[in-house]
Amino acid sequence: MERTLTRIALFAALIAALGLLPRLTLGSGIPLTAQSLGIMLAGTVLGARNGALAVLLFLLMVALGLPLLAGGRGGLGVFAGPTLGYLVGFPIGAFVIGLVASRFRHRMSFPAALAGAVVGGIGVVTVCGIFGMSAMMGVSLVEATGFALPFLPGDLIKAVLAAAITAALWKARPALARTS
Amino acid sequence: MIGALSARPTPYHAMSAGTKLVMLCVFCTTLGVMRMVATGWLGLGVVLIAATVPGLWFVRLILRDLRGSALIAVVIVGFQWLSGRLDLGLAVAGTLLACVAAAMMLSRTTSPADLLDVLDRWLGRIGLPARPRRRLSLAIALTLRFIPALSARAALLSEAHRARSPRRVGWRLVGPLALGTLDEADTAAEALRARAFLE
Repeated sequence: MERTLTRIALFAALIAALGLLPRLTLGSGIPLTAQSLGIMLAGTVLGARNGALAVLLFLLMVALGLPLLAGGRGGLGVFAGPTLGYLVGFPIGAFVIGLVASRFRHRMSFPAALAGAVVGGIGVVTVCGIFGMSAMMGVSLVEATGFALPFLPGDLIKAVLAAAITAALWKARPALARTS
Repeated sequence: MIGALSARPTPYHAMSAGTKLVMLCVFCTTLGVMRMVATGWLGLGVVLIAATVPGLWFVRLILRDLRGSALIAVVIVGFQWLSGRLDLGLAVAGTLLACVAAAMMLSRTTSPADLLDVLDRWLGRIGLPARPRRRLSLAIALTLRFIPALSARAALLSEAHRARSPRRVGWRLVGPLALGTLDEADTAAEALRARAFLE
């Protein structure tokens, strides 16, 4: 129980700390922040339930007013904006990442983590984000999809990175796949 | 825990966090359901007038919080204008700005600890036992402890990398950072178990 709790808290903190890393800008001019990499890692390393709990804990702290989102944003105001769908999608995405990865023989191997990160971290989160933008911005789902598409190349880079980091963690600490 | 809380006191600091949360919920739900040009911009006007009570410095603070959302609002209005739905664009933009401004007013005048107290009380009222609520508080405390520890570790790793390589550290930092802090989390778990913290 203690180990589970501290790891959930640790990954909530890791998601917050990754928001502090300087953002990269793709050739297309789209900014790339590391925070969604933390969401993917929570799902691949902690598994479905605990990964989703770590993300929920992070979002609760953002809602409480702590400036933990990339760019130092925080407070209930972020839940009133067009990114609401993405924020709702983060814990669901982390859960699906863990779920998909657990279908593989070794859930922290590179292919398992990559499949999880692509399906949950990109697919689920983007779909939630599109629905959120459509509802909050008053645009159609097709138009909202157009807004979301430029971020996909960056998300793919992060999915590969998350899978590589997860596989490296598994190699360094094989017990992690059993105890998480 | 200070979060977005304004260090300079305002009359709104004295209001109970629960009342402010309920007011925010009613305000945003009403504007969201109505979603009209008049109600959205009127709502924003009401929030900004309310922000003048502590003084102009507080209005400036809320306007600064609105900068990111204002950019999005401009994009929404522009996009809807080009699509021939200017009314909808103005209604969505007004509602968005009003809700974000109201939410930021709450965050600027309420400490995260007070909001956590409200959450704890409300969870208790809906029948959630004390034990999981205590775990939630402990998890928040642990996260707050880990964030500076992680940042400090990241700075150390980055410094070590710079001393050994001319290449930019960037994403390569995440692996060793996660590994080192996982060990730290397990040490913290052992300490909690030794003190029977979750018993």
